Amino acid sequence: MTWLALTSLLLLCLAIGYGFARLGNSQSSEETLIERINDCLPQTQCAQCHFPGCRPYAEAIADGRAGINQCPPGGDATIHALSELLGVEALPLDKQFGVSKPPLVALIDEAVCIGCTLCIPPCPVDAIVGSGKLMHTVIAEDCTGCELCIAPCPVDCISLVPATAEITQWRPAAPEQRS
Amino acid sequence: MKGGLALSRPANSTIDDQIHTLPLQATYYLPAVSYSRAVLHSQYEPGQSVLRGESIAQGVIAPTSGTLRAQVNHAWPHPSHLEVPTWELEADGLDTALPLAPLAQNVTTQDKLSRLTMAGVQGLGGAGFSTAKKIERVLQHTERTLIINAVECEPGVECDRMLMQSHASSVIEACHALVEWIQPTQTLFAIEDDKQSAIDALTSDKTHQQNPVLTWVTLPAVYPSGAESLLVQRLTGLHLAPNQRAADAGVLCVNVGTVMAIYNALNGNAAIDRLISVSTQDLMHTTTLSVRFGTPLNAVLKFAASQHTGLAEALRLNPTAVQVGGPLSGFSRPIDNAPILAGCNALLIGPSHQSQPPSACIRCAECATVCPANLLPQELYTAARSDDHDVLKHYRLDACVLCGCCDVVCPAHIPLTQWFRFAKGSVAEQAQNEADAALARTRSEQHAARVEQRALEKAVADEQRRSAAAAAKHAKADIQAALARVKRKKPSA
Ligand code: SF4
Ligand code: SF4
Ligand code: SF4
Ligand code: SF4
Ligand code: SF4
Repeated sequence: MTWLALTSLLLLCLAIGYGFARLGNSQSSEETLIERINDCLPQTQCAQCHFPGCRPYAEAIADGRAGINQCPPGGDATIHALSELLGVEALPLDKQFGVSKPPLVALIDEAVCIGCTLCIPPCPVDAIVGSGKLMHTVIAEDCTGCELCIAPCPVDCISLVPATAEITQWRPAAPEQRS
Repeated sequence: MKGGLALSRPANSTIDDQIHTLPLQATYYLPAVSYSRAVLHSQYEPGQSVLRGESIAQGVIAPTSGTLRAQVNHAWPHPSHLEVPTWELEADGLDTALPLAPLAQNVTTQDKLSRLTMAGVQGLGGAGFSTAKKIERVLQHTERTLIINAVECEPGVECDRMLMQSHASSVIEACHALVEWIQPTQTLFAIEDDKQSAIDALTSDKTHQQNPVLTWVTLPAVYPSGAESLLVQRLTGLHLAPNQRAADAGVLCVNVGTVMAIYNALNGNAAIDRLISVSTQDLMHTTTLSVRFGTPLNAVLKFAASQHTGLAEALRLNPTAVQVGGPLSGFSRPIDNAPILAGCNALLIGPSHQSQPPSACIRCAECATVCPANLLPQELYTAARSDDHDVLKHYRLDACVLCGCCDVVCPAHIPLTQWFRFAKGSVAEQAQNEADAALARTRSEQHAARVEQRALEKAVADEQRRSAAAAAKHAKADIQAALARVKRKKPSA
C-alpha cells in the first residue's frame, strides 16, 4: 500500500512541478508569477491563510510552501482561478483556515469607543480614522472586513455588519432551469 | 437597423386621444434609493414641511406641498420586488410651489446645469440618468449633435405621441430652446412613421415653419428603434465602444419628454410628473394620464378605470396584477401602493402572458435574425448558463439592449433576456469585486510601505542617537584626558 501512496504522491509532485515548469518557461521571472497569483487573491488581507497578507501567501504558493486552498474569503472562486493559473488540481477549501462568509465590514459603536487608538495599527488598509481619546470610525468603502481590528479593542465596540444593504446586493436571478 | 420586430396594436383597438390629469392625492411615496439602487441621503427631517418642486435628495422632488413623514420600508416598482426606505409625503392640499424664477437668457452654463439637477430633471427612459450630467459631457465637445428621440417603439406606449400632438407648440419651443443652448451642428428629430398625427401637429407649428432648425428623421415603426445606442448608431454611424455613452462622443440623445422637462425647469417648473399610457394587456384599450411622481400605483389604475370603460372592465377581471412598462420590456407586479417613478412609461392591466416551459435550444438562429444589436443570442445563452464571462464578452453581452425580441421569436420558449439580465449582473458583480480588491491591494501596499518606512526611520534615528551618545562619551573622555594632561603638567611648570 505504501508504494501506491508514494507513487501517487510522486505523480502529484510531478504534476505540480510540471505546472510550475510550464509557467516558469512562459513567465520569465518569479516576480511575475507572484503578481499573477496575487491577482487571484481577494485582497482581504485577513491572514487567515496563516500568512501576514495576500501577497506573502502568493509568495508562499509560488515557492511551493502553501497549498491553493487556504484562503477562506476567496473561497471556491479563488481556488478555481489558482488551479487554472497554476495547472494544479482544484481541492476544496481547507476548513482549518476558516469558512467563506458573505462580505462584511467593521462598524465601531461610536458611543462606546474610548478612543484608545489600539485598533488603528492592525488595520491592513488604513480604514480606521481617529485620534487619542477621540471617537474612531471605519471608512466602510475601504474596509475589507478582515476582522483584525476586532480582538485588539479593549471595550469590544467593533462588530461586523453586512457590507452592503440588501438592495445594493440584489441582482437579477438566473431563470429556473427547467430544461 | 437590422432585425427588430414590426409590432402593432390590434386592428380594431381604441386609443383615447386625451390626456387625463390625476387629481391631487393624500399621500405620495418617494423612495430614498435611486433606480440604480444607490441609497440617497437627505438633510430633511421627519415632520418638516416642503413645497412642490423642492428637492429632498438627489433626483427626489416633492410632487406637492405637505409634510414629510419618517422613512418606512415601502413597496418599490422594481423587478427585484424588494421594499426600500421611502419618504411619505402627506399632502396639505394647497399644492404651493417653491418659487423658482425662470432663468435669464444670459446665465452661465453652470447655473443652467445646477437648475436641472435641482429641478430633478432625469432621463425618462427608465434608468434615470441625470440629464445635467449628460449635457455637461456633451458640452465638452466642440462638434455636437442633438438627437431628439420621439421613437417609442413598443405598442401600447403612447405617451410621447400624445405629448407631441397635444402640446405641439410647447414641444417645438422646448426643442428650439435646447438647440439655442447646446448649439449643435445638427439637430435630428427622430420619430416613427406611424405617428403621422404628431408629425403633422409639429410640422404645422408656426415657430417651426419660421425657423426650421429641426431635421426630421422618420423611421419605420420597428421595435426597438428607440433604444439609445441603436438610434445613435443608426443616425450618426457612430459605433460606441462598450461602456461608452453617446454623450462621451458629443452626441446628446434626449427623449422628447425630457426636452420638455429641461424647458420647464429652466422656466421655473420642477420635474414632478410624466405621461403614462395605461392599456389592457391585449392593447385593445389605451388611455394617457399625467401622473405626479410618487403617486401610488393603485390610485393611478383606479383613476384610469374611471376614465375609460374598457380599462374598468379589465381591472375588474384582473384586480391583483399589473405589468409595469411596455409589453416587451415590462415586468409584472401586484397592484399595491408602490409609487410611479420617472422610468415608468406604461402600465398594462392584467398579468403578463404566461411563459411556456422552455425546451432545449434547437439552434434555429431565429433569435440572431431579429437581434437589432447584431448579436448571436443563442451563443450568449450558452455562455450565460455556464456563467462564462470570457465567452460572454466575446459574444458582446455589453451590446445587448435587453429588448426581448429574441424571446418573442424563440420556438423553444427560452427566456433569453432573463438570462442576459442575469449574466450582466454577474459580470457587473465581478467587476465590482475586482475594483474592491484593487483598492484594498493598493491601500495594503501603501500601509506596508509606510510601516516599513517608519521602521527604517526609527532604525536610523536609533542609530543616530547611539552614535551621538557614543560621540558624547568620547568627547567627555577626551576632555577628561586633556584636563588630566594639564593637571599632570602643572606641578612641573
Ligand atoms: S486568507 Fe486573507 S490574507 Fe490570506 S490570501 Fe486570503 S484574503 Fe489574503
Ligand atoms: S477596519 Fe477592521 S475589519 Fe476593516 S479592514 Fe481595517 S482591520 Fe480589517
Ligand atoms: S480599539 Fe475600540 S475603543 Fe479603542 S479606538 Fe478602536 S474602536 Fe475605539
Ligand atoms: S431562437 Fe431559441 S431555439 Fe432558436 S437558436 Fe435562438 S435560442 Fe436557440
Ligand atoms: S435582448 Fe439582446 S440579444 Fe436579444 S434581441 Fe435584444 S439585443 Fe439581441
